[in-house]
Amino acid sequence: MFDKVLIANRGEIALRVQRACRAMGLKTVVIHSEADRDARYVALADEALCIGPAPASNTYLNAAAILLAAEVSGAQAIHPGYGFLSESAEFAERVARAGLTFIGPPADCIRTMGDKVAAKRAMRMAGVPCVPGPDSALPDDPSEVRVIARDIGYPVIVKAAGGGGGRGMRIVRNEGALDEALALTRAEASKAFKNAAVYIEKFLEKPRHIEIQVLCDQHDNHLWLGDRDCSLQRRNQKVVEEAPAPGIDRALIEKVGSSCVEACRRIGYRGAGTFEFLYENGQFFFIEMNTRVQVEHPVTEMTTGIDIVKEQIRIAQGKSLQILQADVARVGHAVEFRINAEDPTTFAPSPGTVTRWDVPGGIGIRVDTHIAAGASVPRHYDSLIGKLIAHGSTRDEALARARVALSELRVEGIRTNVPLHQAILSDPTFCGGGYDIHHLEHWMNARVAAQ
Amino acid sequence: MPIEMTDVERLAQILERSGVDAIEIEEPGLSLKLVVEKSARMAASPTPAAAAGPATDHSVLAKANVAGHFLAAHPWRDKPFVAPGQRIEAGAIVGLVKIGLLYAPIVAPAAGTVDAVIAETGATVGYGTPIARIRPLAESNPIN
Repeated sequence: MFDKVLIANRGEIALRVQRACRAMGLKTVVIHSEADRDARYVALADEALCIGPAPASNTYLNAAAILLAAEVSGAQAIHPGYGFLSESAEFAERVARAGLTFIGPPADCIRTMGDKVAAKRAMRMAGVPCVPGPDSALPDDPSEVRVIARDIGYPVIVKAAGGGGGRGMRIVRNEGALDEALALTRAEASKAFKNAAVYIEKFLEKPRHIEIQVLCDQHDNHLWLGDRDCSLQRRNQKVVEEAPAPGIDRALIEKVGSSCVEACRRIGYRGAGTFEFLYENGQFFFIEMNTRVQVEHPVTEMTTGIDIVKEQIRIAQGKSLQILQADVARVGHAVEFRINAEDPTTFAPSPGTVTRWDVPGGIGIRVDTHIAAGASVPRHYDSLIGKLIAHGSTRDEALARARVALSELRVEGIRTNVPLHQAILSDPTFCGGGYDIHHLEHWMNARVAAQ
Repeated sequence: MPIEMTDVERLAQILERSGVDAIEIEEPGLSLKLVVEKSARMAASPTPAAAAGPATDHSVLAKANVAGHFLAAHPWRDKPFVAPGQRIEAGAIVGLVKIGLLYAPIVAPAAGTVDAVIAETGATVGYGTPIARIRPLAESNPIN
């Protein structure tokens, strides 16, 4: 069993994983780029290895350099965090081949879920509700595709089997636009994902994005930890997430959660994972599974009291989950606001040196961030610099605490999206809950038009 | 017959003992070239300039480009690759980074005089860790 973990990530999640390891008495090794050399979590790790210059392709995406760093440091396990190599089946395999433990699911699970068509087939077989449309790649003959699309009924959406996270998809509203959409998506897919296979689904006009968190150990114990609503999005990027999803029949969510657990059992899933669904007109439709810890995992931690990252590590150590499904608590409501280093109106990235960083606190407030005053935000990576999570006994209480916390958060030296969050918190639709995934963009457009 | 790592080690020792500088072996699908580096064998020639004190602003650094453990000398030798005061060419090996069974060379970015070897043998180094300070020759251009 391992006692030294290499953290193959950066930023707030590198610190999150490091904290879990340290609380478990595990030694930590952090790899970093030259641009992250002075980060606080780098100094806090037991060992830090600079493995390359700033670009992610040289460092956080460089499997060989990461494995060599594991060799040098004597780490026996690798936590991939989220993004970067976290959903690379090949990386998971190489880690295992090097005799190390990959803190995540088996490579074949990552591979199955990475192929959205294979994932959909696996979910259908496990009884998970899916978006109408075949669970197979489309035939080459456009006339055959036309028949399939007519069967589903327009509008439809053409998606790349290797895509995900909102990338590699195209909406088709009538038959006349189908051929071109197919050709374009195929061409993009083979270029961006090296997999030209595309599939077709019913396009839902006004869905919500609801997801189910699961945890599975190596001893046939499978849990689901409740639901999250991540419908507040801009360009397919989540901005605010919450648990539980407001206004959805709890009995229906229980049913969907149980079907996710059944799917995990069938595919031999291990570790933490998330089933993402679209929800429209009282129905759930599976879209994809994320085979890693997610940015928004804290809202589930706040409502269940379960340390998801710690459980990931325990599972990788071969230990059993110590909770039964019936004992998974759901206490109150939690909301997470992603703090990005970006202009709150243009969304242009705003890298630079943080000269002031006053962090809020108080009851129900949690701030996950790797930033401190004096820290620099490199221009090379994602703009996420922290997450403010507010928990309350009710959704309203959580939002009230969030308003106070956001008013206390002071950042100078760079621009952040804190003003956007403050404006969102005064939007009656947001405060009411239950909006669809287009709400934020519509609301922002309306604000711009009003000014 | 494939050449094994143990053969390479044995060959290198034979070359060094017999004072042969290089050997090339070619077989179908395989070629091996062993070169015994002469500069390491030559006695360092301290120049008065080396004793002139701290480095000027013009000095350049040889940096590690991979994470590992620093070795100032080849594992089969006691003598370090370079010593303060030694004249070296651009691209000369100033030390090795050991990563498990691998040894990666650290090379001088410019010709010049070794001012100091900064890293200590056995220390963990990373990408960009300064290894040796070199005072470049006036007319030399650092290699990229």
